[in-house]
Amino acid sequence: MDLEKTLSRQEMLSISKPARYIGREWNISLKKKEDVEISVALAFPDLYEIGMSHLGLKILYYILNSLPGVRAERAFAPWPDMGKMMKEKNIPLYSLENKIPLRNFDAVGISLQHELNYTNVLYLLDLAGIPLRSEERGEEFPLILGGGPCAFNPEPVSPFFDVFLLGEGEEAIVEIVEILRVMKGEKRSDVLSELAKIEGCYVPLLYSVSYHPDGKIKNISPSRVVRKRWVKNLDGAPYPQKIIVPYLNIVHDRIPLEIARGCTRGCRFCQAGMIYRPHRERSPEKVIELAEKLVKSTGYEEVSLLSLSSTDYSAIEYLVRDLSFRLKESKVNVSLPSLRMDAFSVEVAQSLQEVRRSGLTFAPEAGSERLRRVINKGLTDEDIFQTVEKTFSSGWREVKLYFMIGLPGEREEDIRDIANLVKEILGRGKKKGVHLGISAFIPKSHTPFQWTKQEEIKSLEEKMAILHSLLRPLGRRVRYNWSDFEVNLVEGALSRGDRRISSVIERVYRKGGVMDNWREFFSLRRWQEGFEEEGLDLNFYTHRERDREEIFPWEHLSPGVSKDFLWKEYQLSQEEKITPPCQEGKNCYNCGVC
Amino acid sequence: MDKFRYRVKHQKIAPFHFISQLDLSRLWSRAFRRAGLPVAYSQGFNPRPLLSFGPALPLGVESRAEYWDVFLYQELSPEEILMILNREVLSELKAEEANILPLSFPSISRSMKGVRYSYYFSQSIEEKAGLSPDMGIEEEKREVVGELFVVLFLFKEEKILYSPAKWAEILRKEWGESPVRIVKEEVLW
Ligand code: SF4
Repeated sequence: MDLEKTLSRQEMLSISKPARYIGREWNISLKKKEDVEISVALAFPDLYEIGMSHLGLKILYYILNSLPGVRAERAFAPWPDMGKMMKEKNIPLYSLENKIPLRNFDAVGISLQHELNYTNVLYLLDLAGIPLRSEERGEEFPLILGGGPCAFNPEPVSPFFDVFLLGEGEEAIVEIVEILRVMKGEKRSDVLSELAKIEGCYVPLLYSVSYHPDGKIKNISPSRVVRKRWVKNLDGAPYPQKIIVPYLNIVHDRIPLEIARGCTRGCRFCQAGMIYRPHRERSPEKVIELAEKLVKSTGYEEVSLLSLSSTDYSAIEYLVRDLSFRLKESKVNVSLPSLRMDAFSVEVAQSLQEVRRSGLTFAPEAGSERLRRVINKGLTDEDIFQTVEKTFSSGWREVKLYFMIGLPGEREEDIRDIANLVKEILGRGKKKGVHLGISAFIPKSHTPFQWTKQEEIKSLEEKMAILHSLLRPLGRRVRYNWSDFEVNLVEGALSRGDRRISSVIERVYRKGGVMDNWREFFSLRRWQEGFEEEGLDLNFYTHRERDREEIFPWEHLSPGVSKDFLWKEYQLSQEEKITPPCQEGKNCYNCGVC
Repeated sequence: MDKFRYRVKHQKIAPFHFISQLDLSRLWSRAFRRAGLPVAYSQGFNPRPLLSFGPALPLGVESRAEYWDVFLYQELSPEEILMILNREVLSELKAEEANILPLSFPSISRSMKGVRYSYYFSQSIEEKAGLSPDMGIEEEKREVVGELFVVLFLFKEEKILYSPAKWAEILRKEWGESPVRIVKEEVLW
C-alpha cells in the first residue's frame, strides 16, 4: 500500500500528528518479500507514543526479525481522527514498515498491558478487516496472539484471540513461529491444537466454562492448568542491541535497559510483583555492554535502568557510577525510574550526573503504618521522613508521593494520616513542595487481594472529600491529583472479569468506545449500558468479597504463585502482619515459582 | 578547544515533511551521536548540540534546501562530514553540501536573500488559474510536469520568512484547489 497515494497532503495535515503513521524510523527492519516465510504483525492497542515506549514490543521485534525467514512489523491504534479517515477511505490497518495490511500477515500479536485497552483490541481488528471472534475467522485470516500482564486473566477478551502466551515471550515466541512455519497452510484448528502443546500457550477455544445460577463459575474444563514461561538467566536472554528511534517525542523517549525482572518485596496489592516472580538480575557487565551498544546504534541521550525497584538491584551503586562515567563523554544521561523509599536510594539518585533537581518520586501507597502493614509495604513513618529530608537536603525542591485509597481494611484515620504525613513533610522542608498522586485501589487477579471487594465510587468520593478538606488548607506547596474513579470502576470489572464480559466489550466498541484510557473518550454510561444489555451486573465483578472456595475465571492460568500462598498472604494482611522480602534458599515462603 | 563552524544543506523529502522542526532537531542530535561527530554542546544539566536552524519549515512542506549550522571541535573536510552524516540518516534527509564558515558568520535567517518554492497542482487547474495574487511574491514559471501543473514562486526581501503554507491557502482561495505538494527548492544567499 502506498500511503502517499492513498491520503493527500491536505488529508494528512487534517489529522493530529501525521508522523505517527508514516514509519521510516531509524533502525526499522525492512525484509525483502522473497526472504520471508512467516510474517508477524506486532500490534499495540494504544497510541504510537505509548506503544513505542513499551519494552516488550522492542524485545519481540528484535527476536523475530533476527530469525531468518521471519518478518515482524509494527502497528498501533490510530487516534480516532485517523481511525475515522481510514474507515471512510477504506484504508485497512497497515504495518508501519512495509505498509502491509494486517490481515495479510500470518499472525498478529497484540500486547495486553492494560484492561482499558480492550476496546482498542476490537478497534485494531476491525480496522484491519479481521473478524472479531476467533470462531468467525476463516482459514485466510491471521492467527491472533495475545500476551502481556493481562494475559493472566484474559477471559474478558478470550473469544477475540486464538492463543495467549503467559509470561515472558523470549523463548516461547520462537517456538510459536516455528510451528507456524512448519504447519503453514494447514488447518487453523490443527495449528491451534499444536500451539496449545507449547508450555505457556493458552488456547481459550479448548476450554469451556459453566456457571452456577448465582453467576459464579461452576466449572472450567479441562482442568489442565497453563503455567507461565519465564527466563531463568537474564544474561542469556536475547536483548536488542538496536532499537527503533522514533521522530515523535514518545512517552519514554530513551533507551530502556532492563537490569532486573521480578520483585521480592511482595506488596499485596501489586500484580506485577506476583506475576513477574522470581527476582532475577542482569549482570552489571552485561548491562554496561548493552548500554554502550545501544547508545551507538540509537544516538539516544538517556539510558534508563529499568526494574520494578531499581535500587533493589544488588550492584546498583557500582553500575550507576561506572555507567555514568563511561557515558559522560558522549553526553548521555543515566536515569532510574523506580526508587525504593530510603536514604540509600536518594544517595544513588544523587550520584546520577543527570541531576534534574526538580523532584524525586516515591510510593508509600498508604498513610498509616498500620495500613502499610496490611498491604505489606513495610515502611515506617520515620523511614518516610528520613527519605524526604535527605531528598530535600540533597537539593531537590519537591517530592512526588503516590498513595492509594480504597485499600482493604482502610479506615477514616488512614486517610487523615495521608494529610498528616504531608504536614509533617512540609515542616521538615522549608520552601519545599509535595506533589501527591492519589489513585483508587483496584483488586487484581493473582494477588492476595484477588478475593477482596473493590470500594464503591461513593465512598471513594467521601474519602477524597476528607482529603480535599485537609490538603487544601496546606496551601500552594501541596499539589495533588487523583484518578478518575469511573475509569477505575470499569478497569476493576475487566481485570477480574470472566468470558461473559466479552459481549459487553463488543457492545461498548459498537457504541463507539475506543481509547477508553483517555479521559476524553471514556464514557461510563456506555459501559453501564453494555452490562445492562448483556444482563450482567458490573457490581458482581467489583464490589463483592469472594470466599476461599470460589473458582476464579483465571483458575486455569498460573503465574507459578500458588493460590494457597496468596490466601495465606490475604490472611496475614487481615492480621496486619508483614511478610519480609523473599530470597531463594534463604528466606523462601514457597510461593511456588522457584 | 578550537571550534569550527559548518553549514550543512540537506533534504527533507516526503514522508519527512510530516515531522516537525523540533523532531528534526532531535533527529540530527541523535545522528551526530551515532556518527561520533565531535559536536560542541551547550552547558548545563541537559546539554544539547550547538545546532541552529533557519526559519522552520511548516508541516507538510518538503524541501531540497534545508540548512543548519553546527560547531565541531575538529576540522573535517566537507566530504568527510557528508559521508559520515549520510550513513546516519535515511535518503529522504540526505545531506547534500557542507561548508566551513567563519565563527562570526551571520545566522542562516540573516544570510538568506530569497527562497524558491514549487507548488504542484493537479493539471486540471491549469486553465482556471488566473494571475497569482499581487502580494509581493514573485511568480517565476508555470509548467506542466507529467500529470501535474507546477508553479514556481520566489519569496524575497520582506517575504523571505512568509509561510509557504499561508501562501497555499491564498492560492486555494483564488484558484479553488490546494496544492498536492509544496517543495522548497532553493535558498538564494
Ligand atoms: S519461591 Fe520463594 S524465593 Fe522464589 S519467589 Fe517464591 S517466595 Fe520468593
